[in-house]
Amino acid sequence: MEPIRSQVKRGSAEFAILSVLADQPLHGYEIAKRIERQTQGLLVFNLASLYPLLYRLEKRRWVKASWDTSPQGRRRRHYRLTAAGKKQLAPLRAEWRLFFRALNRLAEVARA
Amino acid sequence: MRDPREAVRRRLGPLDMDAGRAEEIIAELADHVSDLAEEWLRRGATAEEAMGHALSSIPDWDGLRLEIRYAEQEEDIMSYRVKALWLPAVCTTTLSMALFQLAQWAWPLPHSMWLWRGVALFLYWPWLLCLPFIGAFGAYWSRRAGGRLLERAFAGAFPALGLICFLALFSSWVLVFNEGWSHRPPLVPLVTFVLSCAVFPGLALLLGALPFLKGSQHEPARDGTSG
Repeated sequence: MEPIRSQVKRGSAEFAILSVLADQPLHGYEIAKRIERQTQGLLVFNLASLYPLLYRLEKRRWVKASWDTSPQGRRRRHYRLTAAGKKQLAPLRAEWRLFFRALNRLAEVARA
Repeated sequence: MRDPREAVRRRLGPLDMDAGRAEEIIAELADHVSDLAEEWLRRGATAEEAMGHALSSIPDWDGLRLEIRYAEQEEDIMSYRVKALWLPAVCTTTLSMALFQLAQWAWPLPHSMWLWRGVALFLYWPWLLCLPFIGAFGAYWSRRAGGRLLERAFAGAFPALGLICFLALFSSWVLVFNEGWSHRPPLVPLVTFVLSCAVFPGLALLLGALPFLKGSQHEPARDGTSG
């Protein structure tokens, strides 16, 4: 299957990051891998697309980052969702559901 | 294997931000590059090849540097607008209203210029004469905060612009919901009122702001949009 076009990816990027962070705190590389795995490779974040977005979310105080040491003794900057981020996520989920429902309807009309 | 932190630092170039924060970002990006390099090592690449592949996963380092700068300035952009635009605008409006009250109290009767069929133009000269100073104050404040030409003009003339917007909204509301106006809108009194309370004061405010519309302060990057 062809990957989703980059503009659509950009629009959904914030939602994707907030969604994976809703489950547990993760560092940047894990966030990218988790999104790729959960979307079966349809959404692929590289370093250049991920970090500016993470810093932006951090500035908005939707995520909070802190340096933690992993069990392997490696220091990592972990991101966790803040209360403000959780508050943002719920309406975003609803909006995206609505958006895809609308696209589905359009696709059905096109098929008919 | 090359030191990923040095490799990232060299490619990323100067981030133009607090040195501690810049180091933190470089360390974090270097961590990610190391993870990517480890992936390539697991696939059988040599250490040198792995690092090369990991670093080449970012095709545009200049673009990344700019994106990071914009992201880091996002909060500054918001506070910039507040400082260079909204704070001076609110202050000029408050001052202008306070002076208007004072003028009405000291000179209860405005100067009236009869125009046509009982329609008059009311002018509070003492208030109008003070307005250039208020406009100058607003524009000066905005310029000090790094405001651009339009922001300085807007901050200086905001009391009049705000009133024009309010009158436009109010008139629209009345035209839609008030039946009397729907038959015979009082255009002439409305125009004279706008002239007395918004247009002439606006010109007076802009006159005062004029000297501060020239000259530039430093202009921080304010495009916070991401690609």
